[in-house]
Amino acid sequence: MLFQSFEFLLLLLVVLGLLHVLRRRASQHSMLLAASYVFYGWWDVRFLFLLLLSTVVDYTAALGINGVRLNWRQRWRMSVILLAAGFLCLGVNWSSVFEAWHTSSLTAFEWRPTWNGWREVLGMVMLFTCAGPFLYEVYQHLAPSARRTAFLVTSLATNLGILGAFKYGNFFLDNLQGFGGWLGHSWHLPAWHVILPVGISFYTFQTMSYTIDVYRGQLEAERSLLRVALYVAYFPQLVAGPILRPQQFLPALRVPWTLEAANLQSGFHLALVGLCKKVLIADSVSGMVDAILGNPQGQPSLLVIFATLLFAVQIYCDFSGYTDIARGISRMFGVEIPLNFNYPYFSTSIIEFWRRWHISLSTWLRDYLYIPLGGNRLGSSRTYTNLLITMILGGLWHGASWNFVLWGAYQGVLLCLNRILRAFVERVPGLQRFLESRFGTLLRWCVTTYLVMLGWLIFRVTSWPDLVAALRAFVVFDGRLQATALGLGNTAPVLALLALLVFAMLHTFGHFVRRWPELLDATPKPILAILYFLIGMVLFYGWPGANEPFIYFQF
Amino acid sequence: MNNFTKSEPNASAPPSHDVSATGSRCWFALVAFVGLPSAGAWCAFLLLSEVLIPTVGLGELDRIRLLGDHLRSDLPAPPLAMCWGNSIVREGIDAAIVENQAPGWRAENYGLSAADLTELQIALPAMLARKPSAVVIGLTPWGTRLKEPDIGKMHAYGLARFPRDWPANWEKEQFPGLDSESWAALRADTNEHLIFFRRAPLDGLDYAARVLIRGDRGKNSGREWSAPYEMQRSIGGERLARHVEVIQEEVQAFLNSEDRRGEVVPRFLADEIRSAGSEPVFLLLPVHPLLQDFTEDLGTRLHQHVEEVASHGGVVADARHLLEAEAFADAVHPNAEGRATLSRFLGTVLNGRTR
Repeated sequence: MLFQSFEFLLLLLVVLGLLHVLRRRASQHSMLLAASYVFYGWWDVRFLFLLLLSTVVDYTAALGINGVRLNWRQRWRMSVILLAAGFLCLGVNWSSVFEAWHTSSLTAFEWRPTWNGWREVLGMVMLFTCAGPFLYEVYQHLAPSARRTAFLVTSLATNLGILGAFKYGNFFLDNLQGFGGWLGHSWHLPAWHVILPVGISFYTFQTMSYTIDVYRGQLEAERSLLRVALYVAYFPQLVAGPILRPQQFLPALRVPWTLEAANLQSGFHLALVGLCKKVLIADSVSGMVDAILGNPQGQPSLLVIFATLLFAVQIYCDFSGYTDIARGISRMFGVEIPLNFNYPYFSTSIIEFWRRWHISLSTWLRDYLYIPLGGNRLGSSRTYTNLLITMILGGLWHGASWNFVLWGAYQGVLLCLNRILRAFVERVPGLQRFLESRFGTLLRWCVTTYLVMLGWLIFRVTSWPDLVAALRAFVVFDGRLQATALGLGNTAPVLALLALLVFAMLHTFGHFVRRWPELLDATPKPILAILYFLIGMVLFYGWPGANEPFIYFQF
Repeated sequence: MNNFTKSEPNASAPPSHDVSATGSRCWFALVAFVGLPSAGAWCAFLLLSEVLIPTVGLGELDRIRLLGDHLRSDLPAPPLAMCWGNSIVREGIDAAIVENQAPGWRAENYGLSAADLTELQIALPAMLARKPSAVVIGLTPWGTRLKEPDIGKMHAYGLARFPRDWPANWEKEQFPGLDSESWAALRADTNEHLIFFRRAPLDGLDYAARVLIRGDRGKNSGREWSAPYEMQRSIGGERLARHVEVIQEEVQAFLNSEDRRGEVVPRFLADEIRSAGSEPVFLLLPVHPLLQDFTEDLGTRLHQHVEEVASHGGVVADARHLLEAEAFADAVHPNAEGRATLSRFLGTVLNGRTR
């Protein structure tokens, strides 16, 4: 379900209404969990099995790490949930099941493996309902420290296994096949035509942080399955983040949520700003970006630079727009989700850029990858190696494609260079003073922005010949001023340019003067009423032809 | 990297109002959040439908909307020849010259840029409802090619209410050139068409600006039904060679595709025209000498096909070799000289066929 759709508006209104009516904490949580499953299942109900599986495994593992033993009633409940997950996983054609109870027509899969009979169904059900309880019993007979490790490994293996199978399976098989060809072998590996479940990278990272924090002793395992399930599936941030930490969310579930007019208004303003970013800016420029960077060969430098700028604006407005909507909706419920973007395009160094861009991912990578690798505690060369590994894996997190690996490596190298330069500058006081002056700051901003833009090209252009052509056009200005026909009509470039200028003005104002949601919060009510009305008008004209999904859904 | 901080400015936290809102304040806020933007959107819709589209139009597609209005207004007295076709017809036929050559006849030029036979299928019932004596169908040798449906055009035909004149039994199967999406666009209700065209006033402004700025746009001829030509200059040399090349590529792609869906359409059109008491005139349009050899076989096949269709009632007028190279503005469109020659040719065909 897309935030900018009518069905989501309905869902949100129903949730807000019910939240207002339901006073008991458990009822509110049950309702929010149901809404979250509706939200996710709207895209494809079968993939709810991943959420269920992740919830059950992480809930059980965290309790196991804390040495809490499930009673039989809890175990029974887990089995029922796993059974439901098993059926969802099968992608059952429900009508055929109810009508004839034969499985030959289980063709509702969009991935290739076909289930040919009841044996497979029974096998899948047994796997889901028996394997878990069996493993659980085995772990109970281990020594406490081994049991803690076993539970952690099971949780990580499940989450990384889900991610590996659904996101990286094809990538791995394709590259293995290519590698075989390069060696002169013709390997016929099985095709793995699996759909990438929406938001898989976000919720698997989120659930992993829960069990890791419990294992590290930073968090007590949550006793309520309902709360863990809601933490995994909380719909405002489920499919494109921010990646919530358990410490940021679980405490909020210990008190009943109440709607307050001030929170409603503030959340609405934040969501409105996010919606405008997505619909009026990101979607307005996407056509131009696709037309130019989708086929950059032969395009003049000017057009490639323009498209790269547009893409930088598009990806920022798309992703931060989603985050704003998510934070706004959660704020309406009375729960604050942390900031994920803090004006990254005003950064004056790459290190600063990564403190401002996708903050929840960069802090996740820092806490669960970079620091466990040794961080900066093991000398310079290990620090740089750790940075590179972290950023390459961070790049791969974005998608199973070599250009994301390259992008991650590029960012890693830039971060290393930034650290080296920073250390050098600190030893030369004159240079440091110059770089901290106004002109020096402007210079640092220009260089950082240029390098970030170059990175976006690597991020956006997936084919190697296209990437080489685009990079060449971006770096070496060819002086050609005549654009090739893009087939987008006459108004699309003008609209894109307009969106770029409007974004630049509003963004600069928001950064240097006052953030837009806050400005709206402080606006007198009669003026707000007129503004809401005018925004309704602007959204009517600016709404794109089709609701485009958020870019980060694919990650 | 371990210097990362979460950079959560205090200012972004929700305002800490200590007054717990009453239920009615919450409901009031929700109503305001949904109601006021909705009211704004509704006013924007009214502004679009009542002011912007009627005044600024739909840009390049506005001629379709205007044709719908025109066919519901007072038309010239019969016998009337309605000339249909793409931009070659639009540029190549001057109704006044046709009328001069065929005394007693009145003619109108409904040529539309990039129109194909599917579009004639869509518009034909509205045209036949006005009882024309003849419907002139301008065809290039590759005229049976059905283009990928343009959703914008389908909405424009829908907005111009062409489907309302269709016989009750017309279904999608009768339109080989339409897919499900374009069919849905064509059959959508008026509000959906208007919402589709919510950015059209921008196209209208762009179109008007280009008419004003560019020298090769003679006049804003969307409402012109007699001589709606636009091109003022001719091209030659390399630009002409490139245009010829482009047309050859297009035709070759059509030949390679072996798409024959369009071949059933002329018979369908002729049957409809005849059953409405009118006469179909298949006008095989002039071909630039640089393209004649390339299109000769295709043109001959089309000629034979429409001859066979017209054998049950109708006329075939073959003007493929009518014009010299000097009579073309580019590789396909006639210039002023070509327009006069082609119009006289059509007038000669119509002359004496008065009903």
